Amino acid sequence: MTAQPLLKIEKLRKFYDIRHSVFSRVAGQVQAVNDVSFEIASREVLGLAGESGSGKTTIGRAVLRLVEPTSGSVRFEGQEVTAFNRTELRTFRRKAQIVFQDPYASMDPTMTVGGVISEPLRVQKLVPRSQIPERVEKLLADVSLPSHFARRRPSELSGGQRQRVVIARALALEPRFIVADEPVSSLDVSIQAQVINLLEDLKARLGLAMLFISHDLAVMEYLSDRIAVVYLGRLMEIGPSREIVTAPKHPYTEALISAVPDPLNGRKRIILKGDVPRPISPPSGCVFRTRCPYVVPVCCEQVPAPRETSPGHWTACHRDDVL
Amino acid sequence: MSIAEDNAPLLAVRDLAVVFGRAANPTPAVRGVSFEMHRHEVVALVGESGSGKSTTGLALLGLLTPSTAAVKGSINLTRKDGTTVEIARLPERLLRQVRGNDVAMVFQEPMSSLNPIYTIGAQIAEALRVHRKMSAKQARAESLRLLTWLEIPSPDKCLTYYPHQLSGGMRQRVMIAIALSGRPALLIADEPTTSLDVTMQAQIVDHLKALQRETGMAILFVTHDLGLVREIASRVLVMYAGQIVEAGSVEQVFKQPRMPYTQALMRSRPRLGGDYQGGVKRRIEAIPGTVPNLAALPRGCGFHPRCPHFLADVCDAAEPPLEATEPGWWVRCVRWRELAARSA
Amino acid sequence: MAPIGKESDLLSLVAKSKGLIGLAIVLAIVLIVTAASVLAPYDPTQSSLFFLAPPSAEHWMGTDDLGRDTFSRLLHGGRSSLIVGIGAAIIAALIGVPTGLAAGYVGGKVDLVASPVIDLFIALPGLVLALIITAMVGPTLINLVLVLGFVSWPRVARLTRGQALAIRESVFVEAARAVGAGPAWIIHAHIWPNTARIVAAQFALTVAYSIFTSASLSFLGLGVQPPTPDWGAMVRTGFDYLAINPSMSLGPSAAVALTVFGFYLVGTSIE
Repeated sequence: MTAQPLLKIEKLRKFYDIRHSVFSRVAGQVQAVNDVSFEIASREVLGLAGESGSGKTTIGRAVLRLVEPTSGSVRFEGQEVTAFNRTELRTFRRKAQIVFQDPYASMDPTMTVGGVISEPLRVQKLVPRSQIPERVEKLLADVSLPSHFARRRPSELSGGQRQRVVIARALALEPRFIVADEPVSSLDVSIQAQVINLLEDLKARLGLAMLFISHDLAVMEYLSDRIAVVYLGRLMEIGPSREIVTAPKHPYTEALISAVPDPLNGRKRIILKGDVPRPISPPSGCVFRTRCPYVVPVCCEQVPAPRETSPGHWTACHRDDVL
Repeated sequence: MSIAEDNAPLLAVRDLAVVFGRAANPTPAVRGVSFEMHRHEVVALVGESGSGKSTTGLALLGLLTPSTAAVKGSINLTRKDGTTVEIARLPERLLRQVRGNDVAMVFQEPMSSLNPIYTIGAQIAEALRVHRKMSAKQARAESLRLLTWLEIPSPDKCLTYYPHQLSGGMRQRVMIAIALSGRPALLIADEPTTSLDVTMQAQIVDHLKALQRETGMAILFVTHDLGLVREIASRVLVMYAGQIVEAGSVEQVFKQPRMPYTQALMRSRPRLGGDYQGGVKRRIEAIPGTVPNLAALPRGCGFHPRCPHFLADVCDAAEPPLEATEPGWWVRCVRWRELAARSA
Repeated sequence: MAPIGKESDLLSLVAKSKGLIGLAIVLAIVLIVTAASVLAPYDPTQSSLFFLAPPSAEHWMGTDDLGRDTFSRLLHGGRSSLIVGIGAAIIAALIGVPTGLAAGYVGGKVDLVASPVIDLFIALPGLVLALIITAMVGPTLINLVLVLGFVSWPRVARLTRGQALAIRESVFVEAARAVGAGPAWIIHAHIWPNTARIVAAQFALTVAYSIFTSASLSFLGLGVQPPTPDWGAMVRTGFDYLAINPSMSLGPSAAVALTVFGFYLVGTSIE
């Protein structure tokens, strides 16, 4: 008997209307996220891999309703998030948090580090004022920062320190689920490793479930239990991390993995031709067909539905027998 | 489009030092860097922020102005006509002749290097006509050829586009086309693919490799990505806190790095598909601490505060010199011999 | 080796001292004007037979056409200028800041209505507008404060709106929403602190502008009425006697210029 997943997304869509001015008609749509479905179990980390235009950042925000989905269902702990009213949404926010891509931009320059970390507590009024400094100290300790940092300002911190502060903030409300949007991409290699280890520790200690959004596959494989690959707003493949990386079933995943340079071995590279098409008018049928080395006529006509090619491993490709 | 082979170095850098900041509070960004480059070579300059790698690249093109930085040392470049020039002492007028013709640079952010109010075609043509004296018609034909070679879709349409209409990958390829327009013998690429998607990065690296094979152009590839170094370079120079701390062939240095910093760097990145030993995930080892403040460097070895092999009174006594461990492989660590013997 | 960074040293020194000089000027003037009754050697409204006298030991800046001591009038004249200047800036802030915040943060229909109104008023020349309205309602001190405040609020609103708009789109506001913050929290915790600086700078500049405009109005006869001493009016009366007794005009002109300059320095250095 499988337990209910913590987060379940079904046919999530986010389309943006394009208008030339406030009063003109809708000229077209940017299909940022198109019919994406996946689940995340409690204490599980799902990596969301994709390049620019894939829609991964939009998915992360839509799941938390920081961006309103155009259609589709987002169920958290069995409840429909898209139907929440203001109060329910506020309660939801205690359990599901986000770490933004640019730690510096996500902190108000006029606030102190302590203010940034305690903001969630003060907004939600969960903790009496007198206890807030103590909580901030504990959160700083959780991310291995000294307590006197509470008095500093964001501009006084290094990149790695800023990243830790925003992680501490995300933990303030003791959430069950965190969306981490490129949490280590802006950091130097040696600092990345420190933050990666921190995330590992927190994951183990606090039993967090995470949606880990990144373009860095190596880090993603390291931290995630499962990986979902998106391209131009659609889900291409999803499955256990190791399997996806060593035995991908989708041509895009295969190309993506081969493109990641490895310092110790040359990897056989599959070079994709051309550029990612614009999300304004995605190709018909399978959106990857314009660059796919295995394309056949049916790819232009039908959008491939995900098939379970091995237990827990789903691939959306008409030719999933090829790989 | 090949350049005659020559055994003399194309570029010889000796004791390059760059200092930023006010006279009262100087920040030494580059401290005594020396290396050589030959034709056909691809050398990678690797380091994190604060290592001085980008500053070195800028210095090689004479792009550091006296009001911002003080440049000392020698940068000897052999031009296409056989003459040598000293970049660090050359007046701006002569530097402009060298730039584009003998040395060219591609930067990380193509958007800031391209002029937003001119079309792509106009910008490439301008570069071509400045460096190679062509008519407008010839320039257009050559622009088309360059763009086609770089596999830009619909190159004729692309010539009429403005920079903001192109994607990041396309812009970077246009930048490369412009950099190549003068047929330089040396290309300096400073993190050219960092802001791009990994599949686009693979394409561009492919192009650069093909380019280098066909024309014999030398490339100095500045990056922080060790995997990329492996992909494209034959030699690597690892920089830390303004100095070269290890230099050698990529094969040697990556397989058995002798400088603790290089070792730590190799261990701190997760490897795609390769982090398992007997089914158990390897824990990546983070380097503790942070990059030193260049304005207040530690005594002795710049890396010692973070080094797992730090030995008091040895590593913090004096600045270690760059030693040759074997021909072509240099290490800046006083303990390298005993550490290498230990792991042997 | 050329000396490094000497240029940038000098520039930042100038920038810092700009604000301090401005502040010093403003404080000095405010203090002197407030203490006018104590500092002035004569009663500013008392006429005497010694009219149009040149500067001397008894009358440091000479006397005017009615024999009144120019220096004393100068000290007292600052009062109305400062009251009008600061009062107008307060009115402009009281109307402009909330309007700007609402238009910028709430946006939508509120902005759709507010923005054209703001732009319309900015397009109208302030001095002319002030002239017309003052002529209609009569030049009392209160009216001047209200009119000049009314003329200045659109500029404050526009700047506040722009800043509020920019802050609204920032990631840290999105981060606040992500922890459940509503508009009230966001405005008080994020929008306001990030706008305060601009508002303060604009306040100082509005004072400068209002003092200048009120002096111009007075010069044209529509300012504070006699016998209350006022710089603009003093310049006007002294204008006729410029050849024989320049201190009558030059004194108050310099006073206006210095005060406006002081507030201007403070305003631009805050930005």
